Amino acid sequence: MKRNLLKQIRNEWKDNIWLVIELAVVAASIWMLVFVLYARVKYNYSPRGFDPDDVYYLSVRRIDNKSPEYVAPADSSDVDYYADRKDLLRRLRENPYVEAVAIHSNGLPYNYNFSGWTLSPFGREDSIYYMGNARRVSPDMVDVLRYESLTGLNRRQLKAALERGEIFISDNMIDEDAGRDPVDYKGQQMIMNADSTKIFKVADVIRCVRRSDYEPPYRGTIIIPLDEDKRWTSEMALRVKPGKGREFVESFRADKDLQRQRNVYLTDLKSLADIREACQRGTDVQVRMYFVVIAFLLVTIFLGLLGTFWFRMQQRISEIAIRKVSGATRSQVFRRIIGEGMVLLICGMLIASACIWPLVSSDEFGYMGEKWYMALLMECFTMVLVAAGIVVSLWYPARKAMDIEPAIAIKAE
Amino acid sequence: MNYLRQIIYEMRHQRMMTWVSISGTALSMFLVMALFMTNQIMTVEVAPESNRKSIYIGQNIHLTGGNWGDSSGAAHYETIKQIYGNLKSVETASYMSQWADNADINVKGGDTFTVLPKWVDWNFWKIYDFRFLDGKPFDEADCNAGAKKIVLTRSLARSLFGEENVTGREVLVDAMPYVVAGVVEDVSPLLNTTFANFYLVFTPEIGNSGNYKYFGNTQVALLMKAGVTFEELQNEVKSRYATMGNEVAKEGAELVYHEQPYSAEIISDGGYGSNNSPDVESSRRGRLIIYAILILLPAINLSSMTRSRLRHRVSEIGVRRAFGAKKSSILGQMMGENMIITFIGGVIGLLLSVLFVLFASNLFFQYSGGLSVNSLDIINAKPTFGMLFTWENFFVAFVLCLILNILSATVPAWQASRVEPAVAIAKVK
Amino acid sequence: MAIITLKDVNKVYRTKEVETLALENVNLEIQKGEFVSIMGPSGCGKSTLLNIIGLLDVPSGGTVTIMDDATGKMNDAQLSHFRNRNIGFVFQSFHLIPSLNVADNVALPLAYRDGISSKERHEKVAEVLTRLGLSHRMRHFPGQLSGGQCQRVAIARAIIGDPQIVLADEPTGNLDSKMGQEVMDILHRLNKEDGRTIVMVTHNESQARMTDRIIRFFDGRQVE
Repeated sequence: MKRNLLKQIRNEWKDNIWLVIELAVVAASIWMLVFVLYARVKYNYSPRGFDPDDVYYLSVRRIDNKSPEYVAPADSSDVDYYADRKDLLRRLRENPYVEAVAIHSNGLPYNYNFSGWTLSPFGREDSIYYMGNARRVSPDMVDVLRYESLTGLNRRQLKAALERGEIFISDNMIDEDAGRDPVDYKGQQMIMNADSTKIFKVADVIRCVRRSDYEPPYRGTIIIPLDEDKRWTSEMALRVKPGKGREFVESFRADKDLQRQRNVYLTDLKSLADIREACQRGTDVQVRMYFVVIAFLLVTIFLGLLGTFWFRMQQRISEIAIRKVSGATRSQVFRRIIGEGMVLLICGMLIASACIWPLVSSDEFGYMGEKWYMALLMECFTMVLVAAGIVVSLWYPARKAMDIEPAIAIKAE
Repeated sequence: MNYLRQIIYEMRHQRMMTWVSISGTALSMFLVMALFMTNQIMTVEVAPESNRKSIYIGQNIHLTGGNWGDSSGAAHYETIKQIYGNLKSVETASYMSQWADNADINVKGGDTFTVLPKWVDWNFWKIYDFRFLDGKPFDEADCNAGAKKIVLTRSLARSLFGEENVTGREVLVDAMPYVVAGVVEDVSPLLNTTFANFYLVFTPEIGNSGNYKYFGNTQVALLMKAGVTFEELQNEVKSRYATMGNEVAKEGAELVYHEQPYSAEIISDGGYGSNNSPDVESSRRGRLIIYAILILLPAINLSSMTRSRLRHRVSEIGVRRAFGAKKSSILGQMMGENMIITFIGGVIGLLLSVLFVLFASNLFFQYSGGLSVNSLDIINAKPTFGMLFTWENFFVAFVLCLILNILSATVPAWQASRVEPAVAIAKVK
Repeated sequence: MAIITLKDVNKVYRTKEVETLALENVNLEIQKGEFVSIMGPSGCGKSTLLNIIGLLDVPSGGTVTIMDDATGKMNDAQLSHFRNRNIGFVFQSFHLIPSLNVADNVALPLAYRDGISSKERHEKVAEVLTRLGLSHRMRHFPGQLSGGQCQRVAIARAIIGDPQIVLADEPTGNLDSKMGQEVMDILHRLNKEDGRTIVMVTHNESQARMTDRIIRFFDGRQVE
């Protein structure tokens, strides 16, 4: 029975060769796409090192002294702006929907800003450099973004460290392959940008805050304290109480006192979710596109097999009738047709493997940064996916073949 | 005419074949055209960017070494001017801001909207064909004087004033008063060089934002002279880079060139940063591979459909040959029949792709704009009919049908035409 | 005057394993206006002979001359053109195109002829079908007709191009005797009234005896 199946497949090789080529191309394409998608999805679901929900961005702006809206201060020093901002911060913190408010400079993720520092362990600034994105934040940012300490410090301890002027570094900054444990740097003095006048103490090692969810953690994060009373920045961030975003936005828009204090005002309120959406749109589009293409490939397989086997069943009516007369059961007829599809799939997979393995294992792709067995796993996944597609597409022709009445079929011949 | 009748008969009596062939063609057509149009829209020439293919954008600067470490970003006005000012290949150069944060805009006492501004010079209005519904653009004198003038887009004007004829009225932008110079038609966010909700006068102070040397917030749009090639323009820019590189070298730093100036295709592709070169070639190659797969696989299906179909018609072909059909007429007939099926599928696929791009494409476009809770809710990236119904799109769709037909029918039809008539009509098959 | 002349015609079929001699040194002359029947057991080469006369198959050796034209040198296009002008075919299993209606089936040879307007074509189709008593079936499809009607449509198709020669390969083989007789009557009319030369392969001795001449074949050789 099995040998006959193979023989029959060989006899119809002209049709089958095309099906096999098609299956090979589809399997190879799906395999590659699944591979890329896997990398995307993996990073998307790997820990973010912060909590993006219920976080909002605000822009802090000063009213120019040429503006008719400008409120002339009693004494004309810059400090008034700080006082005004302090009032606004206080009012925001008193808002019933708000949990925490911080000022920052480039402190939120989801933008592709690359501005960073190099850090060197004190005394070794000639030989060791670690790179990281510089994120300057006031201590309350610990409550806004909820950084994840890797040494078990709680948020109160993290805040206190920032208040003392200490910094955090992320685990991925330190080259683990070189045998250095990131946590060893806790409590160490670090020199910024090889400038020995700028020395910071590392208070803790936190999980990396990546620039976008899809980005691999290839660049470190340096959290640098910012003093609310002494530094001007145009950026603010706040966390609202869980699920109270809409209420906060409404209360903010309705409350002029929340928006403006004398010559400082807050505007451009946006949720971190929206910022993320805009920032990751390019990658999201790509990921969606990959899913569409995979669906397309499966539908193509469906149409190709359905069409070909439909004709094949018409040609084989008498053959199937004779099989039935000779005692084949309905399920044997059905299984034989599905089996034919599976043999074709195996042939296609062999060709696809022969094409893809050298490619993904090449130096250029290096299994796309994954281990070799991930490539194999992806291949198995692809095979299961395509096999499911084959079963679905052969279902109808195979049912038709099952239902052939031998007597009628043979008479019709 | 009787060919057509025969095809209809065949299609009705081979329903599965018809269904599979048409849906396969439609699917292929749908995806290829949807992808192509989505991509095409990013560079389509519609107002106000009607000549965007002859406009190149100079932007970004990248310095390494010296005090700069590894710094890159939008450039200082003077830097941009030094590199792109008075180029021989350039007809008109327009200086403008490269990026902007949303700004507050309101009429005194009215609702505030937080929307996207853009600072532009007088040449901006010359090289881009905005339609003015009211008023007129800024002129050179306005720009030199740093006039507090503003050009609103239609929907912003409507949101602020409830009408479009508002020239001469006052609005507050981040609490500063501006006089409305004119109102223009809305710009699609897909036109990423010109998109904004309102336009202010560009001045060197805007372009020098941050007060760093070399870095700021300026980009330049270069409209090329007629007959000048991009290579000529780029060579000029390269030599300016070389000159400036020497200057930067005195500070111990290096100026890194990243293939500027950029075409509309590069700008819309967006796959680059200020510290790396755009790789438009690899995007193109990726697209071509996808197109090829999207066309080849259905073609394989259609080809085996056609072959099975023709196998059922061997005796017909024999009879036609006996009664005087040449091989070439058999080939022609089979190709023609297949062409009709391809075109039916093609038209369905094209319609689907147009509907898709018009209504569902928000999921597949890259654009900027919006975000702020106070922004206008009319901003969307939906393309207009004008962006889709270009001759290029129809031409590509037609060529695509031809390709699908040639790929799917040539071999089976050729085989059919080679059938020996004596064998085909033999009594015992 | 000979309209068909076969001289020393051989036909050999070769496959990997065997070589079959289908026709061996056939010499044959058929006169213009003759009604000839070819008889012989199955597999004796009758159909091969008919295909060679009909220029659907080429002999392995010898010459075929039809209407004073040596056909051996003709290329595919010339052969097609020649068949279209001068030869009509009738087959045992009718070989009507199932997806074309009767009128379109009949008009088939005209589709491969230049300079025929659609009005002319319609007139010719109507004329031929009327002559064969089928004008009321014009819009029907072959599947809706009886066997005898199908063969009459096939004959109409064979003569619409006004060929001098009609080749019929067991035209009554799939018909009962009454319908067979009808078809034979039509063929005789075509011979007598129009003066067409008819070559018919048949198994039916009585039908053969009604024709002008019987050529008998056995194992690829002409025996009489």
